Amino acid sequence: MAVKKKNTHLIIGGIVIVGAIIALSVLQLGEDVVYFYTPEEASLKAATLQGKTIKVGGMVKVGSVNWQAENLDLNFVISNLKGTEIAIAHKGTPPDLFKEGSGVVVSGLISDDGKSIKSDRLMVKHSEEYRAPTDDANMDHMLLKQSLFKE
Amino acid sequence: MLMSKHNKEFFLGLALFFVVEICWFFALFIVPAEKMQGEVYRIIYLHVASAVTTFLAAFILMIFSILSLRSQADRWMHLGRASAEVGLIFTVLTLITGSIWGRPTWGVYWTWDARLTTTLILGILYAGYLVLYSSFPHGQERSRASAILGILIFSCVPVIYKSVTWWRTLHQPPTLIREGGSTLSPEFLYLLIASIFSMVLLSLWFISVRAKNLALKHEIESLSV
Repeated sequence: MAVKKKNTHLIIGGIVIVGAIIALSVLQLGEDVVYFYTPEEASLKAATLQGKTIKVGGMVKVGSVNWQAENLDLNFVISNLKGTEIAIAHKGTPPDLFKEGSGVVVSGLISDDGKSIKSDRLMVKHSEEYRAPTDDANMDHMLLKQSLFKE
Repeated sequence: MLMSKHNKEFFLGLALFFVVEICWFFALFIVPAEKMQGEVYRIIYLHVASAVTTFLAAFILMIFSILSLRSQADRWMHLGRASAEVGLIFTVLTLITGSIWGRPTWGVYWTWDARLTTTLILGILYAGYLVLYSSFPHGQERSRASAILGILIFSCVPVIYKSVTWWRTLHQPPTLIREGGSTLSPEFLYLLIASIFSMVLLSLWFISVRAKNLALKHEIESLSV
C-alpha cells in the first residue's frame, strides 16, 4: 500500500515536471514563435496566408493616416522602412498612442497581392523609453524600430 | 518597555509597508507625467516592482528547494512554500497591472506574445507547486517532490527576461538593464529603483512571516493528532 501510494505521487510529480519542460521547450523553439510578421514577410507569403487571421507589425507611414471619426474608418499605411508597404483598412477608434511614425501591430486578413490588410484589431507598440516633460533627451525613434524588427 | 519579538516583527513590516507607500506617493503625486504616455505610465512603479519581486521569489524558492533537498529540515520546506505563495501573488499582480497599462497604451488588455505568455506560465507553475505541495502529507516525499519543482520553476525567469529580446513581442524591451544605459529620465530611474527595493524588502518580510506561520500551523496540527 505504502509503496503504491509513493509511486502515484512520483507519477503526479513527474507529469507536472515533464509538462513544465514541454511548455518551456515549445517556447524555446525560437524561430517558430512568430508573434507578428514584418510587412516584407507578410507580402511575400500573402498567397499562403489567405483566409488566415495574421498579425503584421510595422511603422505607421508619416502622412498616410486618414481617420473618419463619423463612421470609425481608419486607413493608413504600415512600412518596414525599407520600401515594403501595406495599406491597412481598420474599423474602430485607435488607441491613444496611435500616431504617424508610431509602431503598430495589426491583426486581420491579407489580400492576394499582399498589398492590403483588412484589420480587426489594432495594437500600438511603445518603446522602452520614459522621459519627463522637462527632460531634454529626445525620444529615440530607432529604439522602436529595433524593438519591432529586431535589427 | 522592551518590545517582544512579535512586536518587533510587526513594526518592521509596518515600516516596510510605509516605505512602499512613500514610493507610491511620489509615483502618483510628485514625479511628472511621461512625455508620450502621460499619466498612465505611473503604473510602472507598481508593475516593474511586482515583476522583479516575482523573479526574486523564484530565485529564493530555488535556493530553499536546494537546501530542502540537502537537509530535509522542515524550515526550508516552509520557506519554499512561503516563497511560492508570495511569487504567485506578485505574478498575478504583475499580470493585472500589465493589463491595466496595456489597454490604454497598446489598445488591448491581453495578447499572446512571448513576454505575456511566459509570465502566465510562471504563474501557473507557482500554482502547480502549491497544488503539488498540498497533495502530499507532511514528510519527506512532500519536501522532495516540491523541492524538485521549486528548482525547475526558476528556469522560467531567464526565459521571461530574455523573451522581449529573443522574439518579436508587443511588450517593449528592457528599460533598466540594457546596453547603453537605462532609457529613463533620472527622476524616474531613482524612484523606480526605490520602488523595486522597497517592494522586494516587503516581500522578503512576507516570506519570513508566512514561513513562521506555516511552522506554527504544522506544530499545532501535529499536537492535535
